[in-house]
Amino acid sequence: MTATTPKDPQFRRLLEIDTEVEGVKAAFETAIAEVTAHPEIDGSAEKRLTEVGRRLSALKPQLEAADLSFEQKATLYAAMVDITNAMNAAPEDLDRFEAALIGIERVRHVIRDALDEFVGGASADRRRLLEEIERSLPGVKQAELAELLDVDPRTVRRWSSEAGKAEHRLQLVAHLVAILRHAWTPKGIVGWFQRPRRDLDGGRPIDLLAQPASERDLLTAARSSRNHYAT
Amino acid sequence: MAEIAFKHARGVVYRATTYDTCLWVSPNSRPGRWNDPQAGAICQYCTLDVASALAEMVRSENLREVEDARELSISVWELRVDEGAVVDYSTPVSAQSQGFEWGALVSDNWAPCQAEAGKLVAEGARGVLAPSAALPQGVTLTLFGPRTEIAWSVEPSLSIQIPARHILRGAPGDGLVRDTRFFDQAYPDVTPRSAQSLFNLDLNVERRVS
Repeated sequence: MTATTPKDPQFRRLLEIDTEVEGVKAAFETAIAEVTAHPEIDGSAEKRLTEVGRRLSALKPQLEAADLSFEQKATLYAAMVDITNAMNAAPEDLDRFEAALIGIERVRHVIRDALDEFVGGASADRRRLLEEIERSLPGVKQAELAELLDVDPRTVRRWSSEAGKAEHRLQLVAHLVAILRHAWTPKGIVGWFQRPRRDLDGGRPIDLLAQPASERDLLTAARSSRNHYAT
Repeated sequence: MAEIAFKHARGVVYRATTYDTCLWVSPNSRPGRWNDPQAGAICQYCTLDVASALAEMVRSENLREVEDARELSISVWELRVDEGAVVDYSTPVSAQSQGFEWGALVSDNWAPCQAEAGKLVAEGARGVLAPSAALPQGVTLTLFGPRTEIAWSVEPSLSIQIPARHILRGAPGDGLVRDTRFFDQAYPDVTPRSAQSLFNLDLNVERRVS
């Protein structure tokens, strides 16, 4: 569920990694099911874990080259360490299967999040970002878009045809729209920016776009509309 | 200190999310009733009925107008849980008999519930049943710790695996939006439904801790 074209090389690379990690997870789950159902043939468990480790190790160069944030890379490395530790744990340590599965799933979630929020990569220029926003917001008036970007509608039109370094606000709006498109209609995305939020101390997202200190809170608020919590 | 009874909870619960997976293995990044991100805990928020899952979304997104709520497009997942060590705070009687104030369970201030979650986890609890603050008479099941989903028809091999499937996608109904309790609104004077009436909760207490 993404507006980004799969032709983008960075996006395609992430998709390939995602497919491989899904495969690793499926192979591991199958192995665990066999091992727990037939403990008498338990000799295969170590081989299976070694195979998982080999497949994940083979992914390392791709993961390092992937377009991920510092935070995502940190999570990824921590998960890889956990998987390695699980694979090297004593055979009688029954928690090692759970630890390995959790590690694999953490890797998968990092890649999934990067795919879900992909908006052209770190090098995307203003024309590319605007293209992504407009693709996610069909039917939304240029005046509404201009308000989100805090520019004149004529500037939006100019950006549509001119390559150039993307302004910070444009990058942030593109990122937020990339998150919000998973849970809202185009009209709903525009409405989200206008509604006061408890998690933003009663502020409206649109009023906080110009405040660099609020960027992280805005991204967290946008992600919160993707899943329910007990409130 | 009152005794806490651990029960076994088995049945179907629901979760609203648009991620391709409905369960977490990493600490929650934002606060919820039973988690404080500073504590680095993992909570899996579920409800015992579909309406409560959607009402929690409506409340947290502050969708007071039905026109706004119609623009939300959210997926609902069904999960087949079979969990031991679940604490039941779903009614005033069950909460207070175990030493926890009913009012804190529906208060806009989450701090007492977050602190209680820390204590319950330290005692070995794997989940807590509680009223939904968003939908009076709705019930939530919050699972503590990481979980991963497996196909609906597959039996779990590990205790962290839960069979799950995506069942629907759409917007909350207008009636549900009107029934949702928003922040700063008082919890109505209604008789809470016991989790037992919605869920296959084993009557036999597994063990007690005090």
